[in-house]
Amino acid sequence: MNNKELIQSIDQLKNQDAAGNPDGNFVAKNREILMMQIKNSSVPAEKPFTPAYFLHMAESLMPANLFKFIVRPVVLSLLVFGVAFGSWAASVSASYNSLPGDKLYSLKRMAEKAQLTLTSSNDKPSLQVELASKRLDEVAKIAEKPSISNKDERTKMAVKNFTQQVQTVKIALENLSTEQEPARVIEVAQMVDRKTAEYATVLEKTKDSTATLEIKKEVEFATSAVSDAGIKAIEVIVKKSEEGSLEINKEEVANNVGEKIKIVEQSVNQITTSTITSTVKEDVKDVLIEAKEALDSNNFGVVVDKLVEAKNLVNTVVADNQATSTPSGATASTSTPAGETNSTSTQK
Amino acid sequence: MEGLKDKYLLFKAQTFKDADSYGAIYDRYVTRIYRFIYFKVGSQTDAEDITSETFLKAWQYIKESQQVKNLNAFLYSIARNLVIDHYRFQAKKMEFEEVPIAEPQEDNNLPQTLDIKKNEEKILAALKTLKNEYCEVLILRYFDDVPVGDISQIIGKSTGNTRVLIHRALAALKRVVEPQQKNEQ
Repeated sequence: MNNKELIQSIDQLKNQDAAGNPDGNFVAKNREILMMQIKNSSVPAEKPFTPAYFLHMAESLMPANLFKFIVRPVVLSLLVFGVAFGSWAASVSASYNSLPGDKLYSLKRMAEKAQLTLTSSNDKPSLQVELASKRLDEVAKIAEKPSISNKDERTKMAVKNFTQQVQTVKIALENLSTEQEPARVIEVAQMVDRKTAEYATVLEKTKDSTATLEIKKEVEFATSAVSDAGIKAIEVIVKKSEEGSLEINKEEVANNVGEKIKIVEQSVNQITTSTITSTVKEDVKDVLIEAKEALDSNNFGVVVDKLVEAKNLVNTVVADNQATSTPSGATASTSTPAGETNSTSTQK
Repeated sequence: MEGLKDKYLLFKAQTFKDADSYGAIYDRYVTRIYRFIYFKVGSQTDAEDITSETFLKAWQYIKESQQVKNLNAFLYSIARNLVIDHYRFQAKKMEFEEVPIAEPQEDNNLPQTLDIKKNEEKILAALKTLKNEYCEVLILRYFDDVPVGDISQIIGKSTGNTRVLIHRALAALKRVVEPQQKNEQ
């Protein structure tokens, strides 16, 4: 008899009563007694379905090594990630209503930057416009709070932030016009045009309610940047519609261009006259007359070119005035939006 | 699959103190545990008592929310410890009362009326002549199909040692059975 046969023989013994199978009566009776003892000695526990319950269930049902080396490390990593991400999300949501100068404000800006990075290039201009609106809201909120600490400093910072954001919108619009199809570019440009009109109104109110000269200057820069962005939007609309032979509402464009001409005229009139600026002012007025003539003949391409030319001249004068009125030329060049606009227009 | 069902029943019994789940565990294990004890004590009455005590003790342990990782090894370990206690008690009893106790290997109460095949009867008898630890591992491995890993936990030895022990036990059984067969021939 070999081992295999011996094992088979032992296996066959299993079903023999002589091999030690229990008496059926004993099994049944013992079960009855056992169940009675159990039910008398304990109350069934109703456990809530907590995460610990599911973890315990996984540990009970899974093979020990699978749980120890795979499931538990994965669950722990997820928990750590969840706690870290959760606290980040909570801080960001807490920072949502923060204003320039608040401790959580930098966190808010970081979250916005992250959002911008994750947004597709198609949707970026819309998001940039949205962010510009948020910056302007911050200016309004600071103005609304009478007892806020460092109000002037904060207002100045908020207006500066807004100016930078509007400049970013303008750059985004320029980049978009080289990459996207004309219809989409026109759509975005129209949105920027509408928004700049709204911004200009809000800035005007802010300027009126501001007592400090320094803040007034910042608001003027912001208005100039908004005006630049608006002109850029009109330029894009006209040029793209010509490139793609797209139908545009001529009456609406004519109105828009007319308003932009008025804005440039106003900004020319606001420039303090000096021997240097007087000749430039005359030049701007001449360019604007040419623009108006082109507008009368519905030649929008020429109108936009003249408008841009006039605005660039205005920006140059504003930048020069700023440079002479501030002791440091470097400070003036960094804080003046007109200076940046000028540099981009010169490249063009 | 059977192992998963055991785990599920144990989880329910532990978490919800569910008597019905424990009842199902009893149904699945009572025959095996009884047989294991019966081979060790050789008495039907003692085997029944120890079997009852095994399941009651196991329930008390589970009820106290103590961690049970391997139900198979857990129940056999309790049964094994109770058998050891039983022998200790018998030994003390003999010491004080001088009452002779039945040898576990003796086949006093085995029902003889059933139609056991001759060969299997010999193997059964031969099993009872083996060393206690040989008999134990053979029953666990070949009667009850307990995995070697679980047997090693029950008897408190390493898996390698358990394998060697099973191999030696099988060889010892063979040495007892084969001469008998030769004599008959």
